Amino acid sequence: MGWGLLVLPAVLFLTFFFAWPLAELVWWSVTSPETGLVNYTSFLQTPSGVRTLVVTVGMSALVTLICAVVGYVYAFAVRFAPRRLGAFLLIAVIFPAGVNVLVRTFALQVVLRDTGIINQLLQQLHLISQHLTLIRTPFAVALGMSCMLLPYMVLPVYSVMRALNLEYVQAAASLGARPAVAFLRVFLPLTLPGVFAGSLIVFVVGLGFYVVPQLLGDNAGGRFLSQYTAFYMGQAEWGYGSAIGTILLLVTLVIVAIASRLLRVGDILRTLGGSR
Amino acid sequence: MRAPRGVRGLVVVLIAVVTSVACGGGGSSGPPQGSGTQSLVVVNTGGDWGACQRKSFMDPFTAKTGIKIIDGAFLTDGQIKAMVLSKQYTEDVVYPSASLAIPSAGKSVLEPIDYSVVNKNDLAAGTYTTYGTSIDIYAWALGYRTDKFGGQKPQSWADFFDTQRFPGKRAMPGDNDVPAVLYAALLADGVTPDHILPLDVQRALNKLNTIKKNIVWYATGSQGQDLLNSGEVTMGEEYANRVTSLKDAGKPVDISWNGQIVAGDLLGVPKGDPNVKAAMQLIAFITSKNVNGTFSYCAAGAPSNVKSSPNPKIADELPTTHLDEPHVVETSEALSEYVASHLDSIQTAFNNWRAS
Repeated sequence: MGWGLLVLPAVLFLTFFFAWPLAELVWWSVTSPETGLVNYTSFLQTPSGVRTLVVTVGMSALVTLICAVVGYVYAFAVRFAPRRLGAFLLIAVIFPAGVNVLVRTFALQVVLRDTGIINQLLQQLHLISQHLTLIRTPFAVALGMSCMLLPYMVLPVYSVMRALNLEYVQAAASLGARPAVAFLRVFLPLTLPGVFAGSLIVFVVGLGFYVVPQLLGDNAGGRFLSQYTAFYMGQAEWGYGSAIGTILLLVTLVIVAIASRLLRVGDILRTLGGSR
Repeated sequence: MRAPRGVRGLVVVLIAVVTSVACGGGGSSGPPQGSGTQSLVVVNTGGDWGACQRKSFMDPFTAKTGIKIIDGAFLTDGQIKAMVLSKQYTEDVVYPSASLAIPSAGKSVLEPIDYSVVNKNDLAAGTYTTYGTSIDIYAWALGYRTDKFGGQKPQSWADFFDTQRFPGKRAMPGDNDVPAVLYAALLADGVTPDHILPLDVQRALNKLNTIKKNIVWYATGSQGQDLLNSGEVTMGEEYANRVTSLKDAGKPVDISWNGQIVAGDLLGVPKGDPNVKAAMQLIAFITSKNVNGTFSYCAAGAPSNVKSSPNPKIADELPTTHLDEPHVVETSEALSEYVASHLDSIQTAFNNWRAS
């Protein structure tokens, strides 16, 4: 009974502000402008729609991979750096997350564009004669999204590394394992759940990115969400917009379900919860 | 000597009641709708433009009628529809798009403009529809860098598509106004303004395809302006006032008015709005001949009222000064109706081409 009262506010909150709107979204997608799956079939018949969905999912996967590699190395450096340097490195990755994504994306735009800082510098040093094509490419989108999402990888990985008892590694060494072997066969497998947890967050959040692809991309392929808002808000095609939203939701759920099967998310959550 | 607070408040209320009864024509027979209006929430898009609107239209209206004007955020057509559907009127005067302010789309979302109050005889052609009246006239025009082509000046949309003679990237409002992009392409391909309809979307896309790699798409006027200002593009289909303001600031840019795409910023009133009467009064006031031209003294927006007198100093910067050159009127009822009824297929064809 006491437990019930305790969770009641959270349940009510989620029901009214999360479950209800979501149910309404799905409802609109099959009832507006008429009852049926018209919105879904017309979306699947639109080449640009399907293409942008593929590009969005692919880009999010690529960014997850980049963040996993870079984030793991970074978290490793934080874990084994001297105390003060470690604290500094940790703040250095968390602090920028407090700055608005829009502001940081505009800053990247200034750095990357044809008349931007990198190209001007290289041209003034006479290293290049023609500007490099950096902005409005998948490269720029991947770079921008990775910058924004890196903290969500570093933190869970770091917390797992921090919680890991280093005596396991020492034990491996004392049994004759070279450092590389001890890392690959003991340290890495034991810290991988942190990478999985981080990947899940980065991937799902990455699917919802709007500003970064809009400002850094070529605005041709990776526009899944801008298309969504254009239809949903601009043209008042609520049914079609809802269908696009529902499709993205389903795709996300399927991918997360498969991933959690393969990676045993229960273990990951336990790791994050801190219980060993 | 300042009157005590309570007395001042009472005076304001009295003035508001008296003027709204007087101006609203709220006789004993008419419905009380609008007669109690003390304030109106009106879209204000901010910046110099918004400040100028407040100075030239809103504050004088308050001075005349006592009805206060509160700034509201810009609402998309979808948001306006949502507001009407839920009957939660957060704004009284909004900016519907040209494809919403026409009879087929507007009748369930907007109040018809009361042309017994608003004098449409003085308004320029293509600046008023059944459900919307233009506060001002703006244009899409060709803006270019004067420092990139060795003294050569692009003179038309055909030059815009000529990347041999005029190298560099091109800014186009593909995330803002797709029809305006298509009109520019058709004009470049030799279509004359009076043959824009029926819109040959495929022909426009074929033309756009010739410079696809050079196009930088943008969403807002400030983004387009920034692309030209930084030299990221050498030419752009831009809001004309964005180009002239760069030129005024001494930047190496200029404008070609040939083939400009002229449009009105439509004002509309959400259907069922409780303050519809006062809202119509405001629209009538803004578009009246003595008021409408004052806007051009603080921003480069042309009056929609042809009898009003705009600021002679910036006459050359106003789209309406250059109507002797070939141009397309985007918000004319014929074009708006056509685009509105084909919007889905136009948008889909454009998106598919763009993503291919």
